[in-house]
Amino acid sequence: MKEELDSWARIKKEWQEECSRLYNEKAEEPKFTNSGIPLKPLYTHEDIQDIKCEEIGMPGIYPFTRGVSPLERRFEPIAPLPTMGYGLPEETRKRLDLYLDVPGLSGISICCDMPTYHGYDPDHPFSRGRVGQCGTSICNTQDLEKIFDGVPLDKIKVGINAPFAGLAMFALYIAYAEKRGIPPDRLKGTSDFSRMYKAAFGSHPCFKPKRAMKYIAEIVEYICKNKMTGWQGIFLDGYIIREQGGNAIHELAFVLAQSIGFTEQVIEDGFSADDCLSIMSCKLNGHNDFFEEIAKFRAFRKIWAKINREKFHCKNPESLNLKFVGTQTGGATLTAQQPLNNIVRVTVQTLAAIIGGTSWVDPAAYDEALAIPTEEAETIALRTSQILFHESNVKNVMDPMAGSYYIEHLTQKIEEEVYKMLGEIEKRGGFVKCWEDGWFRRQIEDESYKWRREVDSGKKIVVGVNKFITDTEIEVPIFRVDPRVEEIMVERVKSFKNSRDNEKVRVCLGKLREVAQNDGELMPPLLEAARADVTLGEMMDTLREVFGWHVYR
Amino acid sequence: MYIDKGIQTKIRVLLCVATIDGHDRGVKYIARKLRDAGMEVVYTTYNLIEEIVDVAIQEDVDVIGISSSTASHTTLFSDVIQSLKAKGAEDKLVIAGGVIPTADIPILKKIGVKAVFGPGTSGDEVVNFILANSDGEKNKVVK
Repeated sequence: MKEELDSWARIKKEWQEECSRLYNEKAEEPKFTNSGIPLKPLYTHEDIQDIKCEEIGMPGIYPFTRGVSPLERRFEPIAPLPTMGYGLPEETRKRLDLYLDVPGLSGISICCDMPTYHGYDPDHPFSRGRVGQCGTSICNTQDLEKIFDGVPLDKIKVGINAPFAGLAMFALYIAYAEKRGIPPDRLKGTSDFSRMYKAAFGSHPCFKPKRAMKYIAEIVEYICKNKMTGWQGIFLDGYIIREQGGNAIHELAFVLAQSIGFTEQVIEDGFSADDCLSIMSCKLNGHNDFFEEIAKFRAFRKIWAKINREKFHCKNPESLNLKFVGTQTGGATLTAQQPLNNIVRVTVQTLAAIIGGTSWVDPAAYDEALAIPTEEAETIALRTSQILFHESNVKNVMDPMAGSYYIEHLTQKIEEEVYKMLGEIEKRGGFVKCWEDGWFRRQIEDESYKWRREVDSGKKIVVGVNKFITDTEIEVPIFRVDPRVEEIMVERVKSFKNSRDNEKVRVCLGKLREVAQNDGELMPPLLEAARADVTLGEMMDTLREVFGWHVYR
Repeated sequence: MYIDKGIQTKIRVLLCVATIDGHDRGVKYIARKLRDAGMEVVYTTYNLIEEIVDVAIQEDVDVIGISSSTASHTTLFSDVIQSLKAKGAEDKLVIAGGVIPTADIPILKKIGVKAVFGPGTSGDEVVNFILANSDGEKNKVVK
């Protein structure tokens, strides 16, 4: 042993001498990860001496640093969960058909236009110019039918990306499935419409934070009551935190704060922490700092397990092991300049996410900084994850970076930093209070501005933007939504509203208002409304009138 | 503060993004850059075009910058410029930012948008454009 140590000390000394011989005058400029963790030029076993073997552990075993299931990488392909949606619902269906035959497809996520996203009907004055742009338009069960007719809703996971519509969209979807004869307990999906808390991180209008949390928590409660075992509860979102300019530490700390906030709400409503935590899912952002991203996934699994065991005393093993941590590669890392370079960025980000152990990846299309993707760009994105998965052999071994001095050190550093930030959030009164105070937004905006100033000064290089600029830009095809979509959807919803039983609609909305005013359970009147052809916008307008609707900044 | 020939002017800028759009990262960066350059910046979110125009008139701004990243720019900017004209406020410099395809820039310029700043634009570029194209005349203060 003594000999070994001596020999290590000798080698290390030799290396140090060699370094000073070769680089003696030049003081190495300090390097940092994207989130500001200081880096040494080299890591050795000395840097991970304090890390116990059981902290690193084994995959599928608490604290899950190395992965959520014991042999996931070998047996379950990383199935892509593509996001799609534009224009008329039937146009979205056409694009959906491109994917339905992809082997191993685990699910699809339907992208909604901005009015649907916020729960407005196409004929609402705020919707002008935006119907069918950046997503498809959904306001009633007929629109859902045009998208999902014949799609096996009990076999593939469905997400509907309308974060601010919350329960109202859930009610529409359940009412539509009922029409198809599929009861809630057979549905599979993710609650993409549960992300109203996004308003804590960006300029979105929303109910008052506390009310918004209760509104979203009711999704979990409905799932529990109806034994919807194939449906994931609250969908946590780290993606938005990164897109708004936060770093990897903000991303993990704020996602965990969301989870803590919702769990506390669900407990307050009379359910258990396990009810809430065992069915959560989460989307993280696939970003540029390759090793930091890998370490981020590892640290996230570990902190998740520890917090839920130590803070909430969870008993259900599923609560400690977040099986559905997906990745969407960062849209804001893509550049409008030299857009084809984005294919390379997306490849690096996707690779890091796969090595980090993500459950699924949604690689961005290269033209996202220009417009919504063309079919060709979307296909390249899908092929990117397929090439990585089938050709690169990275999937054969679990958690392949474990034991790397650097990765283990970085995983530990990230964990420390995230705990520090969680402590700060707790000190400030928790998720709802920090949201109300605009604290999250200030953190993110400051980080975003810091990054941007570094790009402006040339300290941070963005290829094609502040370095390696070319005069001639390659023209790439741009996807456009037919502007007549708005006209068609407005007409449709108007004639829909004229042809239904409007007395029934009035009664349903009256009931909804009454329940909302009394802070009662909203799902029953919402479902009744959805069955009576009340539109998404009408339900949301009623709730907005009762709960208020503001941009908090 | 922009000082030229003894005349001190402070340029007033309204920057906004639709509440229904939500992509505010770029516009908030520009807001800080313009403030750092000595301009007065009013930042707001809006639901209806009329709100932008009314605030612009009430706050007597020289420049209106609107960020749009959800493909509604053509309708949005033609509505804004029409409304400014109807209210006799067409002298305000209207600029655009956000995700706007290059092919649409000539269309927006024809409508009356003076400049379009896409993703990756440096804040200095926007500052310089405003300094070159707006004299902040309404807020002239003789030194």
